[in-house]
Amino acid sequence: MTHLETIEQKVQEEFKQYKEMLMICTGTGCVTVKSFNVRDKLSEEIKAKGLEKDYLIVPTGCYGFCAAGPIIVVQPEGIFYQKVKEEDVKEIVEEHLINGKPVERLMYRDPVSGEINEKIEDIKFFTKQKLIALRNKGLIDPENIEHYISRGGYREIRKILEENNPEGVINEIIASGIRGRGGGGFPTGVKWQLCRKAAIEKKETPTVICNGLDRTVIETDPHSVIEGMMIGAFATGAQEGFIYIRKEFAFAIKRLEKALAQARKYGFLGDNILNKNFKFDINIHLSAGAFVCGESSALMASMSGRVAEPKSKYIHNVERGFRDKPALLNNVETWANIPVIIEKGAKWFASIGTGDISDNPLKGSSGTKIFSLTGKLNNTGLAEVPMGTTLREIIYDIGGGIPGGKKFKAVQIGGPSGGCIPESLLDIKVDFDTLTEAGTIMGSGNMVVMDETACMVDVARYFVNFLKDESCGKCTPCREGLYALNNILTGICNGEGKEEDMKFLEELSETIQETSFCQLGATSPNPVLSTIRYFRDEYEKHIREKKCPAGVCKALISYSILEDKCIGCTMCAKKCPVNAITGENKKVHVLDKIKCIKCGICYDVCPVDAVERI
Amino acid sequence: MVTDHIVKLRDAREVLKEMSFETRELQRGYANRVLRIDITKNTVEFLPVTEEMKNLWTGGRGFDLWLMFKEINRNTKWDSPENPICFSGGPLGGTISFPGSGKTLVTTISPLTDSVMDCNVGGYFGPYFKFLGFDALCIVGKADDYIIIVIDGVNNKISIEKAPLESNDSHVISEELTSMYADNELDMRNIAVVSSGRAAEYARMGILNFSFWDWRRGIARMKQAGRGGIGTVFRNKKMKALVVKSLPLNPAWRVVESKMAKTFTDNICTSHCKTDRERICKIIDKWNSNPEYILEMMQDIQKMERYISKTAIDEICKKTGMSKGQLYHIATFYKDFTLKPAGEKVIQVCFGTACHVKGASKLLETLEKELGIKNGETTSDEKFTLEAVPCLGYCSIAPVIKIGEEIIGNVRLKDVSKIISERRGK
Repeated sequence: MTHLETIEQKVQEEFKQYKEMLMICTGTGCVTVKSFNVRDKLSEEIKAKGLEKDYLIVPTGCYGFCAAGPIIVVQPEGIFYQKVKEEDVKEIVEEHLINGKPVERLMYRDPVSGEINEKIEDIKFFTKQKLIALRNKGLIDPENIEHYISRGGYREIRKILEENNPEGVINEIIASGIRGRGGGGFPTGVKWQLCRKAAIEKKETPTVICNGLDRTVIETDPHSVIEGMMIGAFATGAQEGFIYIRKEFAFAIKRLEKALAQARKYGFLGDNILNKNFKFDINIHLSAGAFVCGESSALMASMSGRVAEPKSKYIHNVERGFRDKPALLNNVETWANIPVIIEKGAKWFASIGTGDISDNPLKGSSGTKIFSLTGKLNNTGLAEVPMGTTLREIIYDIGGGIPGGKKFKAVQIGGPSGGCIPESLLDIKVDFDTLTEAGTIMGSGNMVVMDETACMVDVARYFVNFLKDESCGKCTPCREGLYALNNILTGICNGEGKEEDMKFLEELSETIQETSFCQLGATSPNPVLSTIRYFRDEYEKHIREKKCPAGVCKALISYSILEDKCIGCTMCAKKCPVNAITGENKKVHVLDKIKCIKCGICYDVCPVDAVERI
Repeated sequence: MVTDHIVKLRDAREVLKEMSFETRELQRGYANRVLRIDITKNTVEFLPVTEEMKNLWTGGRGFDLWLMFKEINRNTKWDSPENPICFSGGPLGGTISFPGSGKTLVTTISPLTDSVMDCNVGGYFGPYFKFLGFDALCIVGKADDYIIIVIDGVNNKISIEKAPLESNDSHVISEELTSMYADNELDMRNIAVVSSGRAAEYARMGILNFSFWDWRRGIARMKQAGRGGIGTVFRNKKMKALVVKSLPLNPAWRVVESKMAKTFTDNICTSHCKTDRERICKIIDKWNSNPEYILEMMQDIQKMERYISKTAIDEICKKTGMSKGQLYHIATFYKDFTLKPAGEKVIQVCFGTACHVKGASKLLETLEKELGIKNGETTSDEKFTLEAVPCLGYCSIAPVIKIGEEIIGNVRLKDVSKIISERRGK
């Protein structure tokens, strides 16, 4: 067993030999846009110029800025290149590395001000973030355990093994006020305490489980998850751990397997870890594609090789979970936070975020949260921000605003069963409690931004339709209720809405919320309730006037050509799939509304906006 | 071997029809042709085996019934010329892998019941006939004089011959014909004779005798298709015998050493049962038959076979002790598993929120048009299966499709046909 400090020294000395390091992002987002090819080309080019002694290429985990991939960052200067293609590599090597002139063409341009941001620390997407769970993102090679150690890794598990005070660890976690990042927001420390208590009372060995349905942290820094799980295992007395991960994340699984193998090799997993008589190992379980697997008891059922159906909540997982023994389940992001809390102390962690947690850990939200920013945004990707950051900051500063000069309409937070939040609430501070008040959930931290082209009734219908398909079918309110909600919403979108539908939607949603078996069911009407709450006028327009203001619901819109604007370019007639548009060159065209299938192609192709959508 | 007696018999023959044929290799248990002989018109023809026959009329009895169904009409009686006698061994006929696979199914309209009847019989006729590359034999018509039919796989000839002098007793004619067509004593094993004796002309319960050469005793022994009076029909058609000469399987005859038989058994085993089962068992063993890892087993099986087959369910059930009901519950609950084979590559269109906002439904429509199939279907060439799936987890590069293992992000509608044609070529 090599000494941790020796490894750290070795890595740092190795880094010192190089003039600069080229960090190339190999997160899934960048890999799909061929960042591996760019890396190969880069190393080829550097070799060709004989520079391999001066420059080190480090494949890193996800930078989170997936919209800009593939990304290369030249450290320690911090020069940031985005959307690098294979053919750009030569230019970077010749201009930047040899001549010392950074390539401006490949730099990031702020979508609002239009300025060029040369360095990574100038880019708003990064500056507004605070990194705890993703503290090592872009700085280490996630496939190399020594890099993790050189950044202070595996010190915390050593510390707590030396101190040998499991209760102390649990108290520290409780004091930090960290709440589960997976969705429910249950105080993590309290969960640990309950698990330890149950294990001691029942004289059983608990299991620690990591819900890996979110792959970012695993891809970026797998060892921090492993270390977090080790700490959890030590605190609760577990000897076995599982990481439950979606089969689709082949890349993350590969990385994780590599990390586990390295951790075993370096003696962090196995028997007698760090000579402290602590035994622990981690295995991987694969999910087979079911949304309900995110629910804790369903996840454990799935891990046991059964159908993922939740069980009654009066049986707590911390008492009888996996294999009918106490089980401690936390989300990857929670696990990755643990080593930092141990390192920097509960006080430091509690000072980040909102709310006073000193007397009740449920009273506030401390630490940071990773949000996945998607939808109609300039900067899509992943961002870790302190709790209490406003939505406006997240969407406009980090997300870079809405592209194409469109207007913001709503942001949907927390995965499919989250609610939609309108512009008027953009200044709320994001934490567990404010989001619940606003009618949504923290959930997985997924944010989907929608602009004015989105129809909120259609959005609600979309989510309900998804949830209806994913309902496991165990309890009636969720299975039949969502089915009924979907029918009504589809009716409204098809112009068959009735006046009493709104009331019925609300009543039915409340019933589902109150009587569902698990959280998936209880939160499933959120999209409906929140859109009714904030966008009631849109529903009313659909029902009373049979109009879709956003022009999404096909049954409620029609297209026509404005005679005074049409220049007779024949574009629309050529593109129309059903030949519903007729007209000669340079003459006004006519649209046959009976033939029209409302595909909207003419609306999109018309160069002078002569096609009108009502 | 060839005694004066045999020479005399042979000289009295008159060939009514002779036709050459090629032997044929078997493909997955089928030769894909049926031999039809009309002894009124003295014609010999080959009929194709259709997919419908294989799927709907599976097995020897099925093929026979299908052939009968084609030949007879509502007025056909047992002694009508169009009443056929059909012989078939089915796709497994002649393999050494299964007990009973040497049997032949024979059908006709019975003189006893005036209804369709079937009968199964041993002897060497079925396997030999199959080795020559035929799935079934259908004899129709009625001859004027006593005839025999010879199917000679060595000289590649089928002939209908007048046979006035051959014995009217099965136990005699079997030996006569075996001696006549065998080149030497060892070759006698390669001859199979089907015959019916004179009693069948007087009673309606005549049987058909299928010979096999018993080399230890040096005599032709017989197995009987005894039910329903097929022998009476055979005799009524004025047939004395049906002879098959198989390819020389010398020196020591064993089915497994016959090249054609080997191809046959190999084909059947490798493609359907043995190796499939082995491969599946290997996967289950990899996970130590641990019921906790059933999802992982099924994932591996799905990846290899492209579906969860009945065999897989059987094996998992046997090895892990989980009930089949539970296993089917799992296989139908999770989206990853299918009970029908998927295409070589599965095209998954992400319908997660981000992709929905960025136009996943239009993308699906375009793909449906491009491939000519609907969501959830497989193309006819089994290359692609199209399915809409919940979030694939690549929201930042929406809209996303996944083809096989490859993720393609930021898909534009106009790129779809290029993407597909590139993958189709591979």
